[in-house]
Amino acid sequence: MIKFTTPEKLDGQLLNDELIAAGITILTQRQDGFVFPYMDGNGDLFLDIDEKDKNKAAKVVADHQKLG
Amino acid sequence: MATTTTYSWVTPDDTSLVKDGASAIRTLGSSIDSSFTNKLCILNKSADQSLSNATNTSITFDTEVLDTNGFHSTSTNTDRITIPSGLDGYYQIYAKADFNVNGTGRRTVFINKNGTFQTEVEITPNSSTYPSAIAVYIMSLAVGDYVTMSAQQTSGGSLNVLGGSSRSLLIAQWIGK
Repeated sequence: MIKFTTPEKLDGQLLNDELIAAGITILTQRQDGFVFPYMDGNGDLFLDIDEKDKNKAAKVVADHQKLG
Repeated sequence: MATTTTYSWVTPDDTSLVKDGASAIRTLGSSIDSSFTNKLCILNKSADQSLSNATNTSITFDTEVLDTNGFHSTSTNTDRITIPSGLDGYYQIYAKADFNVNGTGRRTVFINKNGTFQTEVEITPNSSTYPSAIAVYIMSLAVGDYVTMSAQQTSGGSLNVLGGSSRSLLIAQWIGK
């Protein structure tokens, strides 16, 4: 799990889609595909991705904006 | 002096000359007494907590209904129940999250150990009453390990986990070594 600053407007499903569209693999796999970003008690965002994807993911997270 | 294997209660050695048997029994009795005093942490939250759509969010707790051994802090890492020194063992964990009314998507509650989920419960949403997701688990915890409850929802927008004395809560009860 790699720590990121939580976007002001966060939609975990949309962020997942954006990460995948950027070619980043979410490492945790669950049978039902119901895997979302994790936010801890201090409001920090954690993504289960490979260390090599960290910089690319940081840009996706920074650009993330909730639809609607 | 010898100690028992599991709870480290002090007993005389086989070769000890027990000068004061009553005192030795009292010492052992006090240790047993202390071991089985209830060790319990019950937390709830005074206010609602907003969950972003599709984000597994750790639930924070600002109210200690009962905290017998300093398991929880109301100022730092308020989402955690942390095992204090000397209190390793098996714990029963009870986690309950009440979600606000909304009929879309799924509601899930996780019990986590050191940030990694151990078990989960998923329920259907409800647009007219507050649905409660309740997870129960027993786990072995070492000193410094921490337990959290996290929750996620897929309503399509933000949705509250409810606060208040009868609403969302997290309980850890020591059940033995």
